[in-house]
Amino acid sequence: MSRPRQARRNALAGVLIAALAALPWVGLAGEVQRQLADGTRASARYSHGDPDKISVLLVHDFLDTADSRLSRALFERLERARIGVLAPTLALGIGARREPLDCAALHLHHFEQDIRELGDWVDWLLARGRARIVLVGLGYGAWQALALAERSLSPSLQALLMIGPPEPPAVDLDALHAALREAGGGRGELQRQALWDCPRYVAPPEALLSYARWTGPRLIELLGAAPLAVRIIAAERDRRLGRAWRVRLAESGALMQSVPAADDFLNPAHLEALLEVVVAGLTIEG
Amino acid sequence: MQISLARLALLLLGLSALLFGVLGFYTYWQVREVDREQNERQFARAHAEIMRAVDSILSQTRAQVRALASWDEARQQLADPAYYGYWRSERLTLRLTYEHAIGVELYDAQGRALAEAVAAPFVAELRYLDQRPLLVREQGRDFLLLAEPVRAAADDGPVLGFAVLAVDLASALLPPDGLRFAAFDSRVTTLAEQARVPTSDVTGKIRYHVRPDTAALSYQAMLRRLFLHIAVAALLFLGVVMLSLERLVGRPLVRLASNIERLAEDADESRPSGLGVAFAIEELERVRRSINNYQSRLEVMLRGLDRKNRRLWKLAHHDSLTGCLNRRAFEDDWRHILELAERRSTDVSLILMDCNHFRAINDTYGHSVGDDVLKGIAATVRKILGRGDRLYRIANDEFAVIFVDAAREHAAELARRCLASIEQHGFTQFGMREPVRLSVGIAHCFGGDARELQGLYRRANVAMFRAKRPDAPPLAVYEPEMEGTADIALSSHAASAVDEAISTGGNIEMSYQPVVDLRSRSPVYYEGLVRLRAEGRLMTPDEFLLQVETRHLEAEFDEAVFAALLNDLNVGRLPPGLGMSINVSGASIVDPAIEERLAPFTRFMDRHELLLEVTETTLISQLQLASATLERLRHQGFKIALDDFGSGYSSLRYLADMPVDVVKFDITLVRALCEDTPRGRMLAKLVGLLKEPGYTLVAEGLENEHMVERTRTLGFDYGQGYLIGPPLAMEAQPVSG
Repeated sequence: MSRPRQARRNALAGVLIAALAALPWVGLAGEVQRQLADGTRASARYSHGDPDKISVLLVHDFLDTADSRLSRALFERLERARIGVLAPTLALGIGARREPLDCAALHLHHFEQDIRELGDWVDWLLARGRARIVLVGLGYGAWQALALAERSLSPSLQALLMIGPPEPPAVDLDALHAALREAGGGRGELQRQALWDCPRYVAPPEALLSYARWTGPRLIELLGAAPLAVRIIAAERDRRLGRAWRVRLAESGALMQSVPAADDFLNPAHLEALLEVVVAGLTIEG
Repeated sequence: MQISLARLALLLLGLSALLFGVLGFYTYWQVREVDREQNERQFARAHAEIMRAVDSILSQTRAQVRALASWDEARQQLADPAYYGYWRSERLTLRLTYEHAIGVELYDAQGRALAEAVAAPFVAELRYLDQRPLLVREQGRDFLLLAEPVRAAADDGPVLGFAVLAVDLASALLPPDGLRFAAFDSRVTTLAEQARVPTSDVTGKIRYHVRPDTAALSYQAMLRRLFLHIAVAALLFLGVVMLSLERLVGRPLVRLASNIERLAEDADESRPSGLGVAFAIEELERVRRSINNYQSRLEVMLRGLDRKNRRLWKLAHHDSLTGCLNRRAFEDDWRHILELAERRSTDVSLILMDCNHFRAINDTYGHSVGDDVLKGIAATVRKILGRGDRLYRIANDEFAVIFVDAAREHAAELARRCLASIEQHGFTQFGMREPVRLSVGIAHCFGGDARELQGLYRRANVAMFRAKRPDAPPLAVYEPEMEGTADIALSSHAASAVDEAISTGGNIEMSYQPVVDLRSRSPVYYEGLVRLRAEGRLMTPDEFLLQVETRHLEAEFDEAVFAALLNDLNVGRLPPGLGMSINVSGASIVDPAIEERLAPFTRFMDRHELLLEVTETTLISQLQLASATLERLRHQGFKIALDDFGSGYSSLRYLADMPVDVVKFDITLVRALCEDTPRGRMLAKLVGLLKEPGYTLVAEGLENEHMVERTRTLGFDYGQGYLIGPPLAMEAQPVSG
């Protein structure tokens, strides 16, 4: 065998090795669809990122999807930062849900269903070798991420970034309990109550109660007992976070990080700042 | 073929109306064609519009139902339909954005409705057919039902159920801005109640009608109105033209024609001063003026022609000498009488009067006296005739009178009175010594028809010739017994023989009578005497010469005789050295062609001496002309012989002036010469007198030796008569010794 031919063979082998090395990055990026344990079809956007870095489980706001503007912006920013990110869209009882569910829609889903679905996605990440997972929750999704962290015993969940966790409005829990009792063993009459961001939430008593029981004090209590590092990122002028609520959040022991002058992260002028704070926070937590 | 102007104009109007009718029909037909094409286009547009509308409905419906089928909440309900009733009323209804959608229902994968009860047009359970687009008619309304499968995932996955959307077809087919080409009645499909059919033939099920194209209808209406207006205007125009033609041209032309017709009926018709219309056509006015001028000239011309006609008629029907009606008038009147006899039984009497010896009177006393005699006879007879009786001079000295429906004796009585009056008339005033006498023949035809009348003239002529006999009374009324020998000359038999001799000469047979030298008794020349053979026998000259003279055919008859003589000379019948005498009538002598006719004889003069025998009567009647002709013939070598000298009014003075070589004494003179009477002695002196200037004298009618001797003694050179030799054919002549 001549020397030039040997040189070409070596070069080809080098290119092949490089291509195989890049294959995980290319093949694992995109949309993931899978059937959950209860048979519901669920989907998520997933970017593999750098295997050496942490992976982020991005939880969208209440009734929202992973395609919401803020979720997509965070996803793309983390992807650019080569941080692996999984952004599932919670089914909310609807298979292959793609759109945000209206507040006026019929809500048959339960809070616990959401937490189990998130747990499934954590398992999915762990199954792919992502050992260090940071939960990032948006809005009410931050409380669901906290609930997930509280119930999960996995050591892979290393930190929680809560972006603008709002204070839930007060709910007439007594009425809900009465309705639930009235329903007996059945699903009961549909209840129409203000829940979280929805001024008029329609759901059976049990489904409504599954969310309504997470009142502000209970959430603060849960936050204080969080089993992992919690960082709260809030816009300085976010209307959903009142002064008292901010105080209570700060008193919970979580690290509060405020984005100055920001009022709404959906405002493009403040979005980038948020994204930088998030990436910085993840870097710290990672 | 003739046609009046009014009818022509009417015909043109009719043709124009027909033309407009045809054009109208053609236009109507064309408009109908355009209308039909427009309707077809309109129908096609309407059909296309309906197709587009249906496609739009299907498209929007399909988009709507697909949006519903892919809606997350639809999958939620199919997964958990516990609160479907609430959801359908509170959520699903709000989700319908298609304005014509009237409702939507969800069905599970087995086709069962999620709702406990569904209203029409939905069904409780979907069949296979219902999963396709359907046209449905329920409760008097038409719907479009479209089913779309709801899948587990947005685009794929197992079928969870079906979303069925109902659209009100009637409202959906009507776009907000309305249809342009199609329109609907109360129902929009042809479906029967509760019918459910696939939408594959939806356009065939849509019931619509084509909206009329108002622009095209307006255009067609405008075309029809336009054509109608043009047709009416054209017909009115043609009517005006027709009336104008009739008024301005037709009426003036008719007026002109009427005037011209009245002019034809009455030449004194006053000329029209105008055409009888307010606005006269200049050309017609010129025609009228021209006709008036022409009429004026015609009137002048007609008056002149009338005068000339009257004069000509008078000249043509009157004898200029006597003032009597002439032969032409006689023939016209005779024709009228014949026509009258053809219509009814007619009594006709015909009187023919002839002056005895009138030729001799003319010869003796001259034509002037003869004319006076004729005028005297005519005046005398007119005095006798009654008023209205017509006297004709039908020949030289022959007069005729016709009586129609008169008594038989009336004609004879008038004739007798005429004879008596003539006898008493003073003709001596004209220097005449002899009395003038008439011979009168009368023939009657009473109750006879036209055929009998045609022979009346002949019968009167026969009677007149009977009256001319010396021993007959001067008045003879025709009797059948008069048809004798003399009368045969008047017969058609003689006329036919004469006509044949003149035309062919075939019946002419020449006889030759010798003229001998009285001393030697040897023939000197032969006189050619003509005979006519008819019906197997020879006619004597007495039988046909009267016919020739009566019909004035002397010159023609002479020419035929000349031809026969020339033929005998040509064939050498006449022995050389002997002469031939040729009788020439008076009419031939004065005929300008006589020299030409006799010219062929000159080539025989070297062998034969040729004599031309003429009667003294002829020479006297036209003395100067006859003398000049005879003089020229003498210079050509002919000898001139004066025949029958002494038979007429012989005058020595005339004889002295005549270019005569030979004088032939008539038999009457020869007989008198042979008598020892004063007359005989006087004639003997006359012979001596004629011998003196050198005339050659010939004695005719020598019947015995005494006459031969007597004439030879008196100095006659030649003799002729039955004693010497009768007329015979040349072949029968005795051989000269």
